[in-house]
Amino acid sequence: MGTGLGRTRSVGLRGVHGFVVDVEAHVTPGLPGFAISGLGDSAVKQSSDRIKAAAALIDDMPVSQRRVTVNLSPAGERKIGTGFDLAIFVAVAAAMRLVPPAVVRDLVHIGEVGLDGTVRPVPGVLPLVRAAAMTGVRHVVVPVANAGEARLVSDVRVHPVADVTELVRRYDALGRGRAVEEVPVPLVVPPAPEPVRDLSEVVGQADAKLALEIAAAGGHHLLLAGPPGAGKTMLAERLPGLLPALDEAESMEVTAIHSVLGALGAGEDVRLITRPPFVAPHHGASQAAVIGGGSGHIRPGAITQAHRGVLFLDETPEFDKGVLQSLRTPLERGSVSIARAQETVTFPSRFQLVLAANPCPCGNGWGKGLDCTCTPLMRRSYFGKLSGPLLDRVDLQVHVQPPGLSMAGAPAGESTTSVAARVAGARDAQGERWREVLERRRGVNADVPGSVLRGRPWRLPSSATTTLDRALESGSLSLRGYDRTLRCAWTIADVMGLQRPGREEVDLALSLRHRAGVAA
Amino acid sequence: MDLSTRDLGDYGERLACRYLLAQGLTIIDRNWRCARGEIDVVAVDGLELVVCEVKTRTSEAFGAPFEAVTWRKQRRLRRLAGLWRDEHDELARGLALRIDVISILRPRTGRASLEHLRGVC
Repeated sequence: MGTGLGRTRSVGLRGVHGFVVDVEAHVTPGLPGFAISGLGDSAVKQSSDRIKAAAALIDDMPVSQRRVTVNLSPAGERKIGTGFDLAIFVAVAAAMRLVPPAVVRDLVHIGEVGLDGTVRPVPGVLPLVRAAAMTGVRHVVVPVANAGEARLVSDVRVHPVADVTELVRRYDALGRGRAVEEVPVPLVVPPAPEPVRDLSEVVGQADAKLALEIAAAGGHHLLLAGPPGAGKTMLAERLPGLLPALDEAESMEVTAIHSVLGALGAGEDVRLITRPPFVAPHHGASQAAVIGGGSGHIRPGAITQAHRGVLFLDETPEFDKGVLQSLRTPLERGSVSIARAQETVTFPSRFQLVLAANPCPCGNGWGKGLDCTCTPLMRRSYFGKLSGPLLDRVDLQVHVQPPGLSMAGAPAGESTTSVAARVAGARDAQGERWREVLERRRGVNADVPGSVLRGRPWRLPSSATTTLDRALESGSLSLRGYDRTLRCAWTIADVMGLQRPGREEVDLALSLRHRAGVAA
Repeated sequence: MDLSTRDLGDYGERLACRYLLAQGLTIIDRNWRCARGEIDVVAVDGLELVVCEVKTRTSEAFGAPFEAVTWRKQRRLRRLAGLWRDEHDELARGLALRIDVISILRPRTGRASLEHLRGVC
């Protein structure tokens, strides 16, 4: 009576990827007890209490009077969170022959079980279901609230479940060969879409807008320096609108990350994220919040949330120095590895960086700087945090002036749509040109090494680089700065639809760097 | 008829002893006490020394009788079993140790029911 072995499957989360877990339950009529082995965290351990309460609602399921041993295999891999509840429950029910063991054996169950038997949503369902589908699983059972998200994965049938009593009843009917009706998923009202921030709302700022367009076209990191009220934030917020939409693989990646962070909606109406995300952490953010980490469960940080999108650091010099320095490796590699004694987790983090900074701590040190109350030392140390290795990776460094009175009545500038069209054209040209050099699709100028730009066949004629060469010789420009100017010049040429940059484009690129007025 | 907890426990132990005798076991000690606690029944089953805990309840309202044997109580039983064996060296020699739990449910009306778990810890 009620003795035996039950098996089913679930999926665990490691970083932003899932791995399939076999859940086995052994039930015997020994002294009552509920043991879960397989490196679960405390949420997994407490699963036994939730399951005992939920099982009490079902006839002939005296879990609290049986000796239950559950194993989560591979037992050496850490299991985190409440998502295993449903699978453990079903495995126990199968062991007690309340559901047909052969039916549930190859199904994947994901979800948290409440004391009242309801099946509650868990974060990260999209990557979990995707991992299950990749290992050949055809059917997954998920909480009703996660059904929309799970259905974004093709090649897998999603069965929403609201309640464990109803799930047991359905399995029982299935075992007896009766027809089983699907649980309807309640339709939720989708949240109002974010208002599109249009570039035409920005008054004046022709140089900064140009820099923004170049940054969008070539994937260059950007620094906006300028006094308060100049519109740095306003400009940065309009960058994602200029970027091309994510392709299918990219939007799956980005949506999976947001799913792990619990940043997707619930119910039927969950869509793939197709626009580049825009993430702006506050300058008080800790290293764990920006890079990823945290105690126990390693969570992705802001740089991973900004994957394939824009990471905007407003008031950059106010950030903790350690946080800024830790951005360097992810910028270089496009991913971040967080190592712990027990495990190492790698998160994707290929983002475009936009920095904004006041010229000095008081914010008035622009132009002639007559209102500035800062000492020279304060000004130096303020930007000292920024300069060096981090700024080395920022191709475009522009100064944003506050708009004058004459700008207030100026006609609206170009709209986001028309600039985005030019950006898309420039991106196509770059992808075509660098396909062999970068060995991937959709390569951008920002990724091209300087040695390639200075070597054949991409070397520019000396007539085009006269001013640039002179700046290098006179020492006002480093070789690294030289390379960055070349990259921007190529992007300018791409935006203008030219085959190669000429002298005018190179000089424009150089002037966009010189406007920064900051130590680089 | 209402029974006090004490009487109920004695009743359960008498019932358990009768059951064990009927199963062919030899009872060698009852209600053995030491500073650490009490063992309800000690019996010999072939080549096994059986230390038996008896749980008696009148209803399952507060859980089945077995549920009252928590891991803490199991640990205590193991320790008590060792103490008993140390003190009765001549009786225990050559016997393997086994710990059993007998649960007796005696509703206010109707027949009492007995369940026997062998080798629980």
